[in-house]
Amino acid sequence: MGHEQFEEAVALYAIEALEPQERAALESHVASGCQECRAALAEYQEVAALLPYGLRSQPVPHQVKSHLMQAFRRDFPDTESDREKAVKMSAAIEHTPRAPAFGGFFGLFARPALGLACVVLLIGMTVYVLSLRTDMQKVLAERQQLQTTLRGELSDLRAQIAQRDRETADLRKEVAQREEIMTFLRSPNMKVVALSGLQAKSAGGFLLFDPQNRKAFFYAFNMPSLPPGKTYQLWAIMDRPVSAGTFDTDAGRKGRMLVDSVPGDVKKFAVSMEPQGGMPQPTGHLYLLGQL
Amino acid sequence: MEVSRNQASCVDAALLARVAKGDIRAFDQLYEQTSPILYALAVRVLNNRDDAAELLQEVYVEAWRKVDRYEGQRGSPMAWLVTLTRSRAIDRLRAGASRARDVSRGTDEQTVQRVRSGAPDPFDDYADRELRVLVESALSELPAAQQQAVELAFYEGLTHTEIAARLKEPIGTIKTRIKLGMNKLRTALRPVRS
Repeated sequence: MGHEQFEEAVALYAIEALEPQERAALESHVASGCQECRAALAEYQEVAALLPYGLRSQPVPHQVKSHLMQAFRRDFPDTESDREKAVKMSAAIEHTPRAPAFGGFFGLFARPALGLACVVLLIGMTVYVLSLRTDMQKVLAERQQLQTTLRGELSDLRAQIAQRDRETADLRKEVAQREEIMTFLRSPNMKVVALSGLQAKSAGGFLLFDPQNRKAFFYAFNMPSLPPGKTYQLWAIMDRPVSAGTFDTDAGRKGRMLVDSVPGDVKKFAVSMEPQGGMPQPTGHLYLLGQL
Repeated sequence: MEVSRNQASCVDAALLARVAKGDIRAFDQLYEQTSPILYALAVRVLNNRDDAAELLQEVYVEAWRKVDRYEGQRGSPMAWLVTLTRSRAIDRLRAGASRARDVSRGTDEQTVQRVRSGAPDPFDDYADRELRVLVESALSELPAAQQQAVELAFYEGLTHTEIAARLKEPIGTIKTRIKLGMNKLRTALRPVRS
């Protein structure tokens, strides 16, 4: 077997694929000092040692390690590491007999230091809980007060909104009335009736009357103040007086009203003071009178 | 491809020396770094997890008792442990000490089949991930016939004559396949070899 054949056999030797005779022959050749074959053999053996890395790792059973550690301690009884000593010492402490147990929580007081620590801890916890409770009550009271305040403000706001709603409704009504008056005033057939004061000479009024659609707008001024329970009533007088509606005066002693339907063939208009709600026929004094 | 040296491939002679002196922490470290690879090797050869676990214990006991026989100039500590594990596993296989392989073959072959499935290795924390990828890649790039011949020799302990008989191929063909396969692996794994 020449050197070249040995060189070729090195790869097979590394994974033990040679027959025993071939193996022995190669070993003799390397032992004889062939550096090339020795180097090649070392390389191939290194390659062979890497082949298991191509395998998927397996979960090694846990008992393997524990058995080995026990065996290692048996083989090296006097050379345990500091950590092992520490672990053993810890285990010894764990197994040291303890103070007699009196059972449950009170058994802790069998050891004075531990008992004292427990008492201090208990007192501390109690103080903390009481403090926490006081704080919580304070916060709760503040919240209730705040809630009451907010409820009051909410109630005020609701009242204001209701007031605004009423005012808005009044304004809309007034705007609608004014629009109606403006429409009425633009009528080309409108007639004006002046009314003179009978009880108070400064009092007076005028009535804008549209004979075509029978609508009229009445305006009075300097009217005497109405006593409680009284109102002014406008009358359209033909053969007999017919009520055209009632009106009250404002702070400036002015009164106004729209008459939707003036009775036909009217000759005069008059205003009397009547009980609130008006009457079918005049019962009080006449305050204004005018002729168409 | 640059490969970092860590875990099993990073075991050094100093660690073995500490184990030889009875340092249990050193042994703990050695075990954690090397046992996944050695156990996988034992399972692959014996095709039986219980036998592999038993063998692994024997190997480590032998390792700490005979660590003085380790010669640094003849290979890395890991190579020494791999050789020791493989040798003891092949011995056990040949002695018929392993359980009836055919009985458990179904289950354990499934384990072996996962070797090159490409799925992430759940034990990569313990294994040398980059090295594993490189070796898997190198093996997968071998022609199937070369890979088969190398694995029959390495994992089943068959000589080229026995492989030729099993595969019904000429001896020269088998020798050539092993030689070519090993040569390609030597080239592919050059970046990680010391």
